[in-house]
Amino acid sequence: MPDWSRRRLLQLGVGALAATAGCSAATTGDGPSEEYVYVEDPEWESVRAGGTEPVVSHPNERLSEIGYALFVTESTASKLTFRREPDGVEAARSFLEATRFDEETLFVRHDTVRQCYRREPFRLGREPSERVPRPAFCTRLRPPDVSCSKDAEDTAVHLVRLPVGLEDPPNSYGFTDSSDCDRGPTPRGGGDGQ
Amino acid sequence: MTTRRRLLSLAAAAGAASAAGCSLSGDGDDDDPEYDEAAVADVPDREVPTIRKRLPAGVGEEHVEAGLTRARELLDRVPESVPPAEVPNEVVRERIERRRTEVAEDLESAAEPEASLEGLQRGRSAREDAAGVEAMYAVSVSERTLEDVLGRVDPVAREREAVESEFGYGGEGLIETLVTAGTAERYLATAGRILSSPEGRRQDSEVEVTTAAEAGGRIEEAAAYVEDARHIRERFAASHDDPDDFGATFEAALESLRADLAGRCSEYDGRRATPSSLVDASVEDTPAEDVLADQLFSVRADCSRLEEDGDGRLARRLLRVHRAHHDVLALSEARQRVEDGQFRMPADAAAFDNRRARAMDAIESAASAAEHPRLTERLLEAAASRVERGDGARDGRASSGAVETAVREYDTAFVAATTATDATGRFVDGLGPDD
Repeated sequence: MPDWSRRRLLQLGVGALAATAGCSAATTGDGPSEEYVYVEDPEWESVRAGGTEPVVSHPNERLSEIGYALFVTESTASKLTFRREPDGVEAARSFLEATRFDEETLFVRHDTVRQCYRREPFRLGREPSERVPRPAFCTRLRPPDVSCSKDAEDTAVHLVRLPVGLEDPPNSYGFTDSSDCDRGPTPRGGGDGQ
Repeated sequence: MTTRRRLLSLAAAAGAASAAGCSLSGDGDDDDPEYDEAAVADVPDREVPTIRKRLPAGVGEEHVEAGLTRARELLDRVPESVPPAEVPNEVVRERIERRRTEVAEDLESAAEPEASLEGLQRGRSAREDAAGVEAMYAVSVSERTLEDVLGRVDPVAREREAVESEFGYGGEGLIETLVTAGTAERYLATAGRILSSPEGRRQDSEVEVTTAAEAGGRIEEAAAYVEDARHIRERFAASHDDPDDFGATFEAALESLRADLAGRCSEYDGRRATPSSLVDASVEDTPAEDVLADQLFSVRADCSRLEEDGDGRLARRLLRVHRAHHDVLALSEARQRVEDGQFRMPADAAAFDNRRARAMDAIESAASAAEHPRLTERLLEAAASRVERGDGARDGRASSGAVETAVREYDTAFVAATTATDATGRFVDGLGPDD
């Protein structure tokens, strides 16, 4: 089990707070250090729906309230239910079903985002002392031809495969938010489902 | 001696006294300065002289007007109100409209073209701002792509090279030719630097519209720099019939002046020199220490640039050497005056007033000098800015900290102004004969 320090817990708290507030400019600290270990070709899938009604739910996880959850077994992940059917939901279901929980873990983030912006995972990495990588999200302005209102919000769900199998979820875990999508290597592929 | 801690406590006392509506007085230590708040606040704000760099042949009003007209034309391509059907993203739409309004207001305030270097600067800024919002709009409505916007880099770069290749050092008057050519070379160097990174420092590089706005503005600014360089060269060339070629003179002068400067730089080489090491007097926690530190910083920057500066632009490099010689001379003057006990905390409001007046007198005296004003005013512009910064630091406050900061600026301005004429004279002597 990794050593989850108080500092790390505080960082995670900030990350979760930023996510809950839907802040586009939220950051946690100065970003990863150079020794950060990045996951090559990370895999993720995202789906976005208009309004703030929950898109997914789980009987044991308050996803739309807490904002994220880790699923370490197929049996718990299979209880995830898509409550709405926006574009891309089939790809998200397939992504969930194709996750191999003996060697992978599923991170799910349930998030509100301002309608004229998109928040997306852009890298996956960990401190050398950690075992479980954390996703980093960044926020971008959507293209000019996307019809959107500056005051409206959408809901987005991001499913990220962590390339590590776990017996139990770690005692604490989280993600980072940034307004700067240029920091660090941008992984190929993945979540353009918004 | 007044220590920094002492000054801080005085500053705190000043704040408390101010809150109580009292005047500040010392606590009995004979070494402490005692300031009457009202007296310090009433130190007359004699207007800081306006020192403006000028060109021998001036700037054409029609050229400045053409720049503003170009900015207006760019802005006219953007509607005041962007229909949602054109740009459905409301955040992008509002950014375009807001920016357009701001640029239009700026342009309106610049309705009267000013035929000066400041007028040129204003025109470049107006063109940059207008082109930025125009590019953002054009990319938003799919009239152009980011690639189209960046496609303008090459033609502007070619134009810059063409203007540069036309450069010689012909003119009437050594100093006049030097100042004109040096200014044009600086403009071309700036254009080259912009064109080498037209997208600037971006926060969200994958948002095409914002990148296009940044790049469109910067490329337009580079184009304006190139046009301004051409204008001032052509205007200067048109001002005389029988130009001399100063190329060889400049080259020889640069070599000898740089060699002389390198010798002076060696005294301040590396990190060994500190304000305290430059004088025998104790300067810790005094305005003198700050004056020496500021001047030492400038000299070091000049000296390190001397080693790196090999871009081949003779006139620009010579003007840098002029400034560097001045900084070295000002540091030497500052050291001498500190040894003589100057640049300490003023004893009272009257002494404080005298320090500002002394700096102003030195600037005005140097500005009125008949010899080579085009060169000397380049040095005095920074000195006048120092006085303004000192006034800003003091603005409405009479604490010891504010007084110390203001005095440092006044004293630095004073040594700069008092050595400017001499620095120019020595520099001109090093240039060689004016024929």
